[in-house]
This record gives sequence, C-alpha cells and structure tokens, in this order.
Amino acid sequence: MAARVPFLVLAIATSAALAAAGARAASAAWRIDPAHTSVGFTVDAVGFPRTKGTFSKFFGKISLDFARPERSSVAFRVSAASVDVGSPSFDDYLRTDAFFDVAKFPDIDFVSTSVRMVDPTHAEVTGDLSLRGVTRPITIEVAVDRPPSRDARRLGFTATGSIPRLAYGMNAGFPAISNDVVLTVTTAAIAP
Amino acid sequence: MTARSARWNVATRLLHWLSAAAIVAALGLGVWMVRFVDDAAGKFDLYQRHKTLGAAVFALAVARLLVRAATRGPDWPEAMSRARRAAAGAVHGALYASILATAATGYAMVSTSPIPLPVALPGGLSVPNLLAPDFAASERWKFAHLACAIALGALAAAHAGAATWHRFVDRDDVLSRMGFGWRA
Ligand code: HEM
Repeated sequence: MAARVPFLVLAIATSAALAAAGARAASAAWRIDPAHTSVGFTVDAVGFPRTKGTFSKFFGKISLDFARPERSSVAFRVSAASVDVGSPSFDDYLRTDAFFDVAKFPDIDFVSTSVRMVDPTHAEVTGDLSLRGVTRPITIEVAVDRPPSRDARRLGFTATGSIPRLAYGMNAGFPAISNDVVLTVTTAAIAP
Repeated sequence: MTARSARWNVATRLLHWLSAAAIVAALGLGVWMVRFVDDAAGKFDLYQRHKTLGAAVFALAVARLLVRAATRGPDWPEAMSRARRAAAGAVHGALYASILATAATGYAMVSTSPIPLPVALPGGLSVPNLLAPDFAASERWKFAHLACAIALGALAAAHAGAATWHRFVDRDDVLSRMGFGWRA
C-alpha cells in the first residue's frame, strides 16, 4: 500500500496538470452520447426490398478544434456482431463469413485522417475504414446541426457515406445485392 | 350403388394429405412472401421457411412415388368412362411432374443465386448449393419456378374439383377411399 500512495498523488497531480493544459489546448475531446447515436446502413438488392440495419454496439471519440477545424478528428469502432436488421436469423446470416465474418473480424473501425470544412455546418471527413481486415480510405460527408461554437454543450452530427463492399472483400450476393452500402450515422456529442 | 372398393393403403393416404397440406401452404406462402411482404427482415424469414417447406414437399412426393411403385391401389370405379380414366391418369402424372419440377426449379434458383444461402433442413442441416452462382441463370430459374408453381396450382385445383365431382355428382367412393373416416 505504502508504495501506492505516492503513485496516487502523482496521478492526481498529473491529471490536474493535464486538465489545465487541456483547457488551453486547441482541440478538445467530446463524448459520444450513445442514447442519441445510431449507426445505420441500407443496402439495395434486385427483386428484394431495401435492407435497413443498425449496429447496436459502438464506441466513438470526437475531437473538435474550433479555431482550426481541419485539426478535428473522429474515431469510431463498431462491433460487427451487433448488426441488427430486424430478424435474428437474418442477423446471424450477416455475421457469417459470407458477410461480416465476425468470428475473424469482430470490429469495424473508422479513423479520420483529414477534415475539410465545406461551409460552417458541413465537413468532408476522410479516413481509413477497416472492414473484414481490409483498410481503405473513404470520405464521409458530415453535417453539424448548427455552427459549432465554444459555448455549445451538445452538437448533433449526421455522417453519410457510401461503402463499396466489394473493395473490402465482401463479395457475397453481388450483383443481386448491390456493391454500395449507404452508411448513415447520427450522433450527439457532449462537450468535455 | 356401386360396390365399395378398398381404400388406398395407409401410407398413401397419409402421404396424400400431408402433401396436399404442404403444397397448399407452399403455394400460399410463396405468393404471400413475394407479393405482399415488403420488409426485408420479414421476407428473409419467410423465404427461408418457404424453401424448407418446398424441400418437405419434394421429400413427400418422392416417398409417395416409392410407395406407389411398390404397392397397388384400388381400381377405377366401374362407372368411369375410358376418357375420364385417361384424363384422371394424365392429371395425376402431371401433378407429380409439376410438384417435382416446382421443387427442382426452386432449388436451381437458390443454388445458382449469387447469395450463398442454402435450404435449411431440421437439425441444423442444409441442402448444399451444387450449382455454380450465375445471376442471370438464377433469374431464369425464378421465372421457371413461378411457371411451374402456376401449373401446379392449376392442376391441384382441377384435381380437387374432380374429387368434388366424384363425391357430389357421381356419388362414388373415389374421395372417401383416400380418407380415414366416413365411406361413401
Ligand atoms: C414444391 C413446392 C413449392 C411450391 C408449391 C412453391 C411455390 C412458390 C410460389 C407460388 C412462389 C411465388 C412466385 C411469385 O409469386 O412470383 C414461390 C417463390 C419462391 N420459391 Fe417456391 N415453391 C416450392 C418449392 C420451393 C423450393 C424447394 C425452393 C428452394 C429450394 C423454393 C424457393 C422459392 C423462392 C426463393 C421464391 C421467391 C422467388 C422470388 O424472389 O420471386 N420454392 N414458390
């Protein structure tokens, strides 16, 4: 125990120092509000209705830099097994190696590499998407519900993009099932 | 009153009514799931059930043909004309053919589909997809499946109509000898 006390003191001191630095730092880490976040997708097929689904397990971090928005960043991790299209047997089928292959590739990751503001409430976020073990750049359009400002406590984001699944080796069903999977993520971020 | 003939053997009678129920269900489910269900999840589940039901129809038809080959059924009623006997025989033959063809085209459509989703059987087993994926071929099999199902539905309706005719117009025992209870 004795050895831990100085360590605890050190930890508190360090985090206090970091917090002070954080207040001055340009970019701040915002928290994703899971209750107001939905990671959704739609896929079209020939002779079959559009399939709409969500992933119920995810984890995301958003770092916002109001002065220099292009220094903002976002990282999102989605648990592939949490796919939900409204039918347990359909979900199980999507978990197999024909589609997400969750046994081998449990996570789908997106890590931004650049952010470009299009106008005060729209950005183009480019990043690396890792799906089924393949990592490729994709660009996502992000809309903010109002012009971000320092006094905002919450910001709503809507991110949309199109994922060419064949490029990630998810070939099953093509061309009966389309190549493009439309991704729509809505989220609310809470100020630090 | 014509002399009563023997009933069909019990295996044939059981297979007949099980097949009838399974075919009516497969036809109804097929039309329902394709034409009236438009959410993807519901459709997925119904398609899977329809495929399993279709496999059951196929298995029942094969069993029925085996029993038929191994046993002898009752004779035609005395009063039936040669022409009606020939017509009945032709419809029965066409019924077997259309049942097998509907199941076979269903299997061919699923097996050539680029979507690898085999027919599920009880006990976690499944029917392997033996044909190579080919989207255009799968679409053609889909059309053939619909055509066979329509033919099967029409033949089944004619068959049921003829049985009703025997019962209420001819008043013979053709219907009751396929049954388990009351005899004409
Ligand atoms: C022999 C019994 C069967 C009957 C009576 C039957 C009947 C039908 C009918 C009436 C339809 C609807 C067609 C339409 O409305 O366009 C249908 C569709 C379908 N059947 Fe069957 N079927 C049988 C067996 C099978 C089998 C064994 C399979 C698969 C192995 C199968 C797979 C399908 C599929 C996938 C569809 C949907 C086609 C589409 O997407 O339009 N069926 N069936």
